[in-house]
Amino acid sequence: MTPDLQALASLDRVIHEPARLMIMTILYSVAEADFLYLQRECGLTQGNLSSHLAKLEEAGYVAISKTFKGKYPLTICSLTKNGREAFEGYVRKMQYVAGSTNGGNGANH
Amino acid sequence: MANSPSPVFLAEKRSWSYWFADGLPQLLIGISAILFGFYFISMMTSASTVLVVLSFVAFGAYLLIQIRAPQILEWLKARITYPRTGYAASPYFATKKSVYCDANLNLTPVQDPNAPAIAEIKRVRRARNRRLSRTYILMALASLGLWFVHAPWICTLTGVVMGIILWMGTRADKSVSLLVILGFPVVGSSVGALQLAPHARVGSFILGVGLLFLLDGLLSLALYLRRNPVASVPVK
Repeated sequence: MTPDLQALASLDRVIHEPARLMIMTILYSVAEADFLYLQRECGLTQGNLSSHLAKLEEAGYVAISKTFKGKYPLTICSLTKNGREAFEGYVRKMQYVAGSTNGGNGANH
Repeated sequence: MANSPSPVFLAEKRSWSYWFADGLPQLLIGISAILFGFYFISMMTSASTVLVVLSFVAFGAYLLIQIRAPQILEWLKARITYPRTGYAASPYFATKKSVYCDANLNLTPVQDPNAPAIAEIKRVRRARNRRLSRTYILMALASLGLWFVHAPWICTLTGVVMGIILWMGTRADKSVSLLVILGFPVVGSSVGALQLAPHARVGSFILGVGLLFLLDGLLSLALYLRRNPVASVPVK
């Protein structure tokens, strides 16, 4: 395999799935959010969101914790340090690919 | 494609707007400005002991709100906002520290200067903080006219100038509503029409601005509750 294609082959498949990419993008920008907020932002069903969050948690990218804010129980999700690094790595690779479609500047990233 | 804002940027912007959507921050700003305005006026014109005591109570309450604003907002949002539309960490209070979860599921916000760089988020937040600081400084400078120029028209002029400064400083985020921005000249004109002494002018202006924010907060809260009337069943 040529080195320029290797970046594509090594894309993180856990993050690459669209629903999980949405979840990662939101959690990357808000530090932490609860299940309801993620559901509203992503437009996913409860079951769908649960299964994707479980996969992200399994990969060590998302930490899920049940807590209380006042009397209201919250399922709080946030990116782990690994999750942040993985997301940044994924974005860098995608920028490389996008850059290569704009005249081959992607290698500069 | 290169010029369109990234989804990360848009998600951050939405979370910022979400923080103000329920009107609670505006309500708190309004109440604290009213308390401070009342303290300001009554301290300068304290005719009776009761008024002096009341002014100190108002100042104490104002200080309490200033110091405990994040906790008060959290308490209110936990009862009104989170059950209806969910919880997202405040981007405003998250600017001072890097919040993330470590591998042991410790959800306590931790100071970590070595946390992975969040270049775009940091850039957006730095730019917003700079813009807001500039707005606060310019508004404070604009208010000096109320002290030093002894003419009724200065109140209207100050209101117009402050409205423009506020609009320019917050138009990117739309965190301050048009009601408040357009209300500044109205508050200025009203205070000018009363023909008060300089100290009373400043106090009345602060009081008027507080009422503006309070009204804005109440309207936003009413709209929010109308759009989200029933608390969602929490996910267990």
